[in-house]
Amino acid sequence: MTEETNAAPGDEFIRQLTEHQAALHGYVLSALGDPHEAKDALQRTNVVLWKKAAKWDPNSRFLSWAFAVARFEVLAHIRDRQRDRHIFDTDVAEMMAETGETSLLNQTERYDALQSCLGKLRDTDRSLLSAHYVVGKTLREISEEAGRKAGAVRIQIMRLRRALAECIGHRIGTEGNQ
Amino acid sequence: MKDMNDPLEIIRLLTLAREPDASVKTRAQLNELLRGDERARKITSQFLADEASIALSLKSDNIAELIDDDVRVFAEFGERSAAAREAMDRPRPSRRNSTSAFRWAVGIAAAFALLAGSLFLQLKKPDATIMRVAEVEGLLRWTGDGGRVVDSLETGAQLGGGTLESLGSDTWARLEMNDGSQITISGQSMVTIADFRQKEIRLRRGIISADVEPQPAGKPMIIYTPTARAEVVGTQFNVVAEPFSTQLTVNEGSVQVTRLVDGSVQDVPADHQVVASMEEQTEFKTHRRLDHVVVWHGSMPEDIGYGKWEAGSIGYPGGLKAAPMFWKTPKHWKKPDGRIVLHVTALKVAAGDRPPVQLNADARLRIRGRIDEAKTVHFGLTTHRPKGGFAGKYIVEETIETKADAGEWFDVELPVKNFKPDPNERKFFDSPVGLELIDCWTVTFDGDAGLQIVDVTLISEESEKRSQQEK
Repeated sequence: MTEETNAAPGDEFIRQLTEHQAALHGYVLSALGDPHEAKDALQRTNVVLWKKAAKWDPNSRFLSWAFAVARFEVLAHIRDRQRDRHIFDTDVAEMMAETGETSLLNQTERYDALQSCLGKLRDTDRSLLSAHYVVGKTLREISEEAGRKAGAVRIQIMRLRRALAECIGHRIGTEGNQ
Repeated sequence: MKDMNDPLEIIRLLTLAREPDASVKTRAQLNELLRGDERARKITSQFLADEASIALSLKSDNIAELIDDDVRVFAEFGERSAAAREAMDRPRPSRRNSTSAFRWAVGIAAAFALLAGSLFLQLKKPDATIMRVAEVEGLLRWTGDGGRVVDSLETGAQLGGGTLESLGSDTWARLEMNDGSQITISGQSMVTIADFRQKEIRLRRGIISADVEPQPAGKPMIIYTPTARAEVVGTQFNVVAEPFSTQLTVNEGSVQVTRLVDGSVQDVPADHQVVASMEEQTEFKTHRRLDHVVVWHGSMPEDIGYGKWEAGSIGYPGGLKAAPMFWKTPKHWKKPDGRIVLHVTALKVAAGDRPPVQLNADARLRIRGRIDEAKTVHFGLTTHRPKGGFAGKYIVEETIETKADAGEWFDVELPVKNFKPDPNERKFFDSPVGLELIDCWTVTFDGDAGLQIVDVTLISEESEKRSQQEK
């Protein structure tokens, strides 16, 4: 029997849950690899976090607590999906969940920096990233629509990602010195 | 040869492996790399986390319009909070004029949209989802959604109200209701589940194990069986329903049980049980859960769960003949999907006012019977945790040879410690030793081998020693 509560979460909890939504999404995606699976696991995680809101100590770091809850949901998801074919093997997914729990604690800051960095990209580059990461088109689908080779699309996305990573690193470093 | 110390090569492999048509070899390479290289895991983790951030950031260009309805549904249905109202009422500037206040509002709305999507949006529809299949093994038939029948429920399936029927002795399923309450159905069971302002579970026959979250005041979960009605506020309990009696055992919390035949009521606290029979003269009284026993002898035909009873005659004992059962080939067989016919016998162990039967480390299941042709027989056990819920099914295979004399019986003893969980199914425990026995069963494949069970006994050295000492 769990000890969850039906009490409505407070405003501070909602603020924290909102602020760290990108980090939570990133955590479950890093553990599962598949965006569709990550969406399901994130929904489950949000529901559980909502139910357990009263258990969160506002004096503790929200993201550490939320990652611990998310990890449990990711492991439950991994357990449920055992018979299907997936990107990460079960043991690797568990290792990724463990890695993300410590390495992604600054993901919310990276998300804030990313917002600015995305604004520096050309519209066509943002459209390409949006087609791949938001719409969910595969490299093959994008390349066929654009009449290009899949390899060329992959390389272009990789370049954009590298540019964004460098921009994020620069912004975090710059802001950190201010 | 690629240099896997180069982060770009790691990301390149990851990208290729994530494509839907990625080869098995590519994915194996990725997994092998990640398995042995912590740095590769960190690089991959950050790359994927950034991808989620990119997706969320790009998506939020139009998110305000997309989520408005979801936020309102959530806020109106659930507890209104100042933050939710603030998010709804705040004017929304365009993305180009994005401010931290707007991002805050969008963020709140996004969080609510995620919650609303999973919890509340479907409640707008009359055929709302009330539960999901959290785990399933074997063949289950679901009848719901206006009478639509689904014979191959998969893990993760979202269900509205309807009837679930387990079609195999080795079948079980765990259902998770929207409030987190868990219902596990096992064996030859049939249960109808509804949640319209109040949860109602109608167990027509068979076994359920329930872990019920605290229910809203004045709206307990109601369990109906052919002979009893139980009100549950929040507890862990097991129910075994038969046509003429119901056994309800409470492990945590308490349950109020009404015997339908006369309307009398009993409160059943933790570690107690009650049996509600159809016969008024039978005692209906809560009593402390009986101490477990370590031996058991099947009584036929009373204990038959599945199979065809064939009455005996002089010098020829009656027996339980394996009966055909339709089944669907599970995915892990890697055979073309299709139905097959199994031949099955099942005997109930937990029922009525019997004490629980615990499986000792030295216990053996002794089975006597006859068979028309040599065949591998799958012997199975269904278990519960001592003072707890469903704990898995365990099997052992044994090839049964025909005897030269057609009238001669086979006699096998199967050490309980040799029973193992199906390697293709979720493992609860490595062994059934220490668990409570709920039922036992046999399954044969590939045609009717004429299997007939005449006697099943659970014995242990401890019991044998005691018996000899008494003599």
